[in-house]
Amino acid sequence: MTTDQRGTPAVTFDKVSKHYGEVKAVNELTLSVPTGRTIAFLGPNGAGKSTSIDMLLGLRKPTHGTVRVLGKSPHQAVKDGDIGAMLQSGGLMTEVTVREFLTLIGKLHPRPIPLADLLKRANVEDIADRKVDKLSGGQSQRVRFAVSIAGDNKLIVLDEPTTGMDVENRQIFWDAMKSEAQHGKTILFATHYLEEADQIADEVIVINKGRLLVQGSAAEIKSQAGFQHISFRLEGVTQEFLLGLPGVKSIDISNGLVRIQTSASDATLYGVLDAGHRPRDIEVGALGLEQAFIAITEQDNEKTGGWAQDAAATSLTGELR
Amino acid sequence: MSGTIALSRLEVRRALRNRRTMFFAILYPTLLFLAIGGSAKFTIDGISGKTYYLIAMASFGALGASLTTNANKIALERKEGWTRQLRLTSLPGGGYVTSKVIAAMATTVPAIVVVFAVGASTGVHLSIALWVKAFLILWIGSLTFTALGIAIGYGVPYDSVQIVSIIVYIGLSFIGGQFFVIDGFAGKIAKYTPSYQVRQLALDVVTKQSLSTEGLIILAAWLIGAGALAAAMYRRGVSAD
Repeated sequence: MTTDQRGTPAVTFDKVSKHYGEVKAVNELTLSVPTGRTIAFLGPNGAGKSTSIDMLLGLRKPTHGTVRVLGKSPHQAVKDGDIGAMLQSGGLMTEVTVREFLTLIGKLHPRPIPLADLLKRANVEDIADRKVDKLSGGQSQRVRFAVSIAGDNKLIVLDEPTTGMDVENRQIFWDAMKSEAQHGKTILFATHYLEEADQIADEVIVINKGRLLVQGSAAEIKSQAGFQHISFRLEGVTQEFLLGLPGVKSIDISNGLVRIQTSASDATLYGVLDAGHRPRDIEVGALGLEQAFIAITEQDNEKTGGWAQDAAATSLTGELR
Repeated sequence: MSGTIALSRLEVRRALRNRRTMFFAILYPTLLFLAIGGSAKFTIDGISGKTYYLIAMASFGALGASLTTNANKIALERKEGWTRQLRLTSLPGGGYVTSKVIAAMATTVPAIVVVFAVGASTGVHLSIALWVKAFLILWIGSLTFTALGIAIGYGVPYDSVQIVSIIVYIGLSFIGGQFFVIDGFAGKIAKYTPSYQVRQLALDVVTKQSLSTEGLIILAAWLIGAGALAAAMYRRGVSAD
């Protein structure tokens, strides 16, 4: 290891497309994932997440473009033991004990971590002598996680890692993952739980229709959604007054508690004060990541709905020629 | 290489302690041998019924051990993503299928040896050299069935694998003379099947007859053909995984 890996991103996609017949699962996706960070990979169903992850792991080949992992081809990175991956489901050997299975996985890694450490770090000591095919869903997930950290990897890729886990196991899982991150590993995870992405990820990547939509911290993405919420207590204001304030998108009043979604929280609040009102219990904040995620993907769908079809039609006729 | 060895060792251990596999590979043929062969008073072409069924049941067990388990396991493990997960390790590309061949060869050993041991203890007397020679023909000949099992595991959709592998297993056993003597017109067709030739060549050994060149050619052709089919199905399957 004389090569200095600093500056080499963990993952790069350069104009990567994957077509299944006429369906463009991934469409000229370009992105770069820095090393040493925990990154959530989000997108609505059908956005191309799974296909992108498959290409990143070398399980599928892009139709066009190049995927690099730590500056290498995904296949080479896998063979060098640089990537630890946790698939969404399955992926386990049956009729063997967890201990036998993880012993094997260690032998299939160029730089395995000692079995005792692995059992501890993945929190599977208690089920080490159970048969793999006799485990509950949550226990299987723990074993899958153990597979992803069985060697000294540089990048850990997790596809929907906490599906099927109860709240307690989810907590244990993310604690374990944080300790992996503290070892300097890059962690890329796809999830349906946006709360998890909000709490755990240093950075969030959102793709939609096979393209990169936005990449940044959760806070940046929330602000990019362009909405904040304001709430306060104030009796005797009318709906008309509130809807007439600058930036207001929607309001909700119940028992004197006013909730506003706005694209300009400062201006909205000044408007209330300028009218001579003195509201109490003022709270101003960003939308949750989930609402922000929905807002930006919807904006994108509205904006590109026609364009994407035109582009598809154009490139199709282009191919026919 | 060490990865392939590690996987093969676990595959072998797993197969040898699977009750279902061991039932079809060892217990079932052994019981059939005791039930039919033990009381068979007939002779066929000067060969005692007991000797006939000794070889027939050893080859039946070898066929079961090498064909059905692999076919079902490969189809299941592809469906459940184990083969996908293995592609995310440093295991070489052919490591998985290599381990399946090794596991089949390992489970075939007790399938043959146990029937031989029961045969020897119930009055079949052969020299060590003949036991070994018969064993080797059954064991190496069974590679044909291993290849067929791999071809089925990769070539047949998961939903149909069980039924296809059972049909091939039982079909080959019937036409190969594993259950009863095949002669006459049926025998003329049957001699072109691998199950017939594996059994017949081993029977020739224990009855001290010279090995038929035609039989060896037919079996070798099957081995090469089934191997090529397995390779083609494997390549097709892997690219679809």
